[in-house]
Amino acid sequence: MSDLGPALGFYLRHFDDAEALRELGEAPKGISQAEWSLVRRVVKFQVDSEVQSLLRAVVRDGLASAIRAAEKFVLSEYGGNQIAKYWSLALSIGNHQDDLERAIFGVAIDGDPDFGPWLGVYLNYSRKPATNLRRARSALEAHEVAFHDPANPDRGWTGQLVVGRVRLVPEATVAECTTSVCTIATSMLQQESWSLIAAQ
Amino acid sequence: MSHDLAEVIRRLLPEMKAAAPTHDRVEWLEANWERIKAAAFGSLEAELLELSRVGTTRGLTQILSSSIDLLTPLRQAQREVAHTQLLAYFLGPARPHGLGAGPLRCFLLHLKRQLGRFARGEALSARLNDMITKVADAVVLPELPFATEAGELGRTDLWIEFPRTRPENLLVIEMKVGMPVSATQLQLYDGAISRRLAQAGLAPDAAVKVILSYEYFSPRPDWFPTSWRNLAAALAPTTLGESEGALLLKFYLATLLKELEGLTATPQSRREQLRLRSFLRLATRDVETE
Repeated sequence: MSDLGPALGFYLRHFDDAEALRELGEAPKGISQAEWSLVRRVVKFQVDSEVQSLLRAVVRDGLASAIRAAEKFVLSEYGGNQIAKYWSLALSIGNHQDDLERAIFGVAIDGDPDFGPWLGVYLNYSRKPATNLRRARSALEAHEVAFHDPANPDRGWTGQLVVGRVRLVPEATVAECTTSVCTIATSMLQQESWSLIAAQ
Repeated sequence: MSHDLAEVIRRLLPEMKAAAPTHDRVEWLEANWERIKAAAFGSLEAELLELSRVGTTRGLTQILSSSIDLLTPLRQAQREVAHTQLLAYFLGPARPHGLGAGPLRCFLLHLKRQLGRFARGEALSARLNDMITKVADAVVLPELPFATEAGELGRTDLWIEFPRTRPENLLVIEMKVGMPVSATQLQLYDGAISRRLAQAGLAPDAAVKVILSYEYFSPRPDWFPTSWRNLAAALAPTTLGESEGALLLKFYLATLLKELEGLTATPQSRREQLRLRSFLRLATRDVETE
């Protein structure tokens, strides 16, 4: 049984229309201000709150554990605004506790018309992100590692590479999301090309 | 109060429902979902059809329908320096694109419409009108280097002087692709602008300063924001000709609208429909009030 949250479940069931309603400012004609306030409370504020809970759980229990299992260190956490218009939470990774970041892994929830809503792990860099992302893209392509390139600034993506994603369905549980994130991150960290991808 | 009475009150007074637990609110939303969708999206497709018809007269629909754009094949759509050089090329009245001063004139008209609502709107309009009269003789300089008195080095993205021989007006454009604009950076540019105005014997208000970004945001009130989508809407009419320059500009504007703004002529989702409507409303409104 899903434990994602009632508002998030509603949002996922009605993804396309709910996404559009989030962006509407004023109440449409025929909807009272009080009703509109209720709509906004669910599709915006409550969904945001439940998404943040989900992200914290999958990052803490999935992403962070994959990073530690790869014998790397989680150096710092980035808040939910890296994907400016949407939802994400990220961790920076280092080989030792020497504050030298090697890469940033983040978990984001986004969606597109073809794939629908998804939960994914993305790669970014704190220093020279554009240069490093171009280099990482070349390394991933050379080693035939699949990735998704949102490259859509209107949703806040500015070149980050999504190295794995799963469809986010209303029936999903937090545990299933955590497992998916862990699997994706582990697979990337165990790539032969990881040292090339991570180097800055 | 009995449970039944509380339930009746909750149904009759939506304000009380706002305090209800999430499950109740979601339940209410599920029950009223079709009515809400009809109210929000009922006339959307009809309006899009009409807006697209008007947008066609300005070249907007043709740009959005383009299957290719200028910068994606080069993987440069997100690189600011590529946009700086291209915009300098198209805004330059003496460049070989064959569009003359058309693009720069259109951009100045757009700024005049947008900036009129800011403080000092009348003075800005007058300044932009003066620039428009001298547009054929403007010089557009991309990546102009400068040094501050403290020895710091910088480059302004686009520096435009009207006219080239003895400038009377200055337009400085700071462009942002994917990165936020910083107030510190603008301060450095202000120093370079002040020195140039002093050198040319011009008053401080001879310079108009613009930030061109996706976010339509400026951290400083004396730097005016505009957006890539507004720029594309402003320049679109100059792509209606058959010249090589018009075609090249059309493909560049396709980069702006499709790659930077995420717009499409065939929206696949409600969200995309709303974004397209928002853009076309803005772009075609300017036509009606011109």
